[in-house]
Amino acid sequence: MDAARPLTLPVGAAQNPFNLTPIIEESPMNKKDVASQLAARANISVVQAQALLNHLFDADTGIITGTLASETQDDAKVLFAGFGTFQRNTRAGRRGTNPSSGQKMDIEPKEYISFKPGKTLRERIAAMPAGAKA
Amino acid sequence: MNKKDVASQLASRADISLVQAQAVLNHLFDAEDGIIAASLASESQDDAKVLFAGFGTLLRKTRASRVGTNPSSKGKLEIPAKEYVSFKPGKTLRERIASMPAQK
Repeated sequence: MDAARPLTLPVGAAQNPFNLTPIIEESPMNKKDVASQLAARANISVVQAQALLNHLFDADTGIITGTLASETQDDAKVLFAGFGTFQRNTRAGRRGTNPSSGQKMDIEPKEYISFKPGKTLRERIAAMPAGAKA
Repeated sequence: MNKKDVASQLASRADISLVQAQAVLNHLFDAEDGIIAASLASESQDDAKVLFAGFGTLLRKTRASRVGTNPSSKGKLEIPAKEYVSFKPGKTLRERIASMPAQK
């Protein structure tokens, strides 16, 4: 048993008839959690920290998103040295097949966002023991 | 656009000094002791996830071990499992970007 997750139920209908997912498994850190840590570290209020995060990450009006949505693709790149790069790329158009009808169809080229972790972060994470969960 | 450029935009939008804005970005993005990197390096993988609603999620995942082939010697070798960071764009950002005219 993994001591860090004592509430995990055994898999299997008999032991877990309602197929419950333990609440403890889903606990991503969200913007609010980041704001409270940022407030403590930067010695500012939580409200100020939240405003700063919105300036950066808001998907409609934030600085990072605004840059990624630049007209020219060469500008659509945000680099945090050591941490990583957010970047817009173009997925090329291709000839695809509709799997159910077998019909050929054109898939249009499309813009998408990728993140490439920086060297320092990548090596720090790679140095961690690989988890049992795949 | 690098951290310095983001800092100057953040400073003017939030009406703070450039130095304060840079400090905020370091608190968030520093790869050694920033908040996001520390969260991604959490002991438990379930915690190693940072969600900015609409923008996206940074999370740590495990790449499973596999048997690979050394291309020059043709020998089989075991490639061990490895932790890595991935980013999944959020719905709002993804749709905004996908609605742009494709380039090239």
